[in-house]
Amino acid sequence: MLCLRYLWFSRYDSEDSNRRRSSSSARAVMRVAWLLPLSLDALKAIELALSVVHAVVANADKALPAEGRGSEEDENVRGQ
Amino acid sequence: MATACGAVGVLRTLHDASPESLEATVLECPAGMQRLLDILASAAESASEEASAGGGASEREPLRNAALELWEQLTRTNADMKTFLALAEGFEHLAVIVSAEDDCRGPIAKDCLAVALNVVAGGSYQAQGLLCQSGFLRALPPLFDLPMKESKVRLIRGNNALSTPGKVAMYFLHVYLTCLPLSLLYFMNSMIHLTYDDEIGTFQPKLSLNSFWLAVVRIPVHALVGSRDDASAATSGSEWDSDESAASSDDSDGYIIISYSTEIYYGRALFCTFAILSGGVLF
Repeated sequence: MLCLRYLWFSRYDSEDSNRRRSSSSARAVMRVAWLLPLSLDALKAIELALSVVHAVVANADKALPAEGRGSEEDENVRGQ
Repeated sequence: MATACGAVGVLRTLHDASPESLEATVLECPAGMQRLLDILASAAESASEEASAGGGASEREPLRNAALELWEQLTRTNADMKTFLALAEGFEHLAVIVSAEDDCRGPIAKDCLAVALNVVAGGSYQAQGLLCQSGFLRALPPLFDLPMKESKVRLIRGNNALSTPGKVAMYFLHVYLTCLPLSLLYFMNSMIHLTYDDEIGTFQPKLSLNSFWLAVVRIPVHALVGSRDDASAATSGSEWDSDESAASSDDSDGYIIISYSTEIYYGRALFCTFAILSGGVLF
């Protein structure tokens, strides 16, 4: 059963055009996630969600608003 | 409604044929982008109403699905489309649609995520900031709530729910289930016996039901079947262990020897050690 599922996932891995835009970390997670008992749409949704989160987190220092990030002084105050 | 669905379908077909021309036309059209976004806004509004009313299929779902696919096509490459969607509260509409879906990992959620990824993946810090402010990320955690059974979680993290006798019983059950393949190998090996061929003068391997019965009664080591006197004469050397031989002769061809090689014993010992150690790690 595992072999059949891996073959099924390999087909998805090669045919899906959205994978070109997905992030490297999401693709790395999907190398293991095919073991989960999820449908193809669910796997794609998880990969897209991971890619969205990765795209935001990778540029968090520039993308997030200043009040959301917190300044270095705020971090010092929290540490004290 | 059917007209709107047809219009969106025509736009999708035109985009497939000539993406750049259609995108330029939509951008030049007064309020063209806003009209396309209104479809998403009305879909989000109806989705939130349905969620509050208790669910039920809506008549606007085909239009919403077609609009999502059209937006996914439009935001693939065009930077203006991406910026417009981010600035015109498109992420809020997408978040409402994803949150209202019963199947949070279904095809609708997948289309919404594809649109959001198209907008965000371009590297626009403004779009990424707007995504963070929109609450779209708050709709994502249910996607990662994986359907792992509670029992499996306990098994991986240590089965704290079981009492000590229960853990001991589970340990022996694990050892037994792990040793089952070895038992099959043990049984198959007992099906093969060596028959002494008088014409050739050597032992020949042979498969028969005669040794099937011997396998069932589980004679442990080299069991010699045939004439006991001849057998003792044949096994007087150190090669065969005549002390543990069993006599139940019904084979007229000659001697039947159930052969258990030492490799099988070593393999069984290794397998049992693996089963015991892995059981200890699991429980």
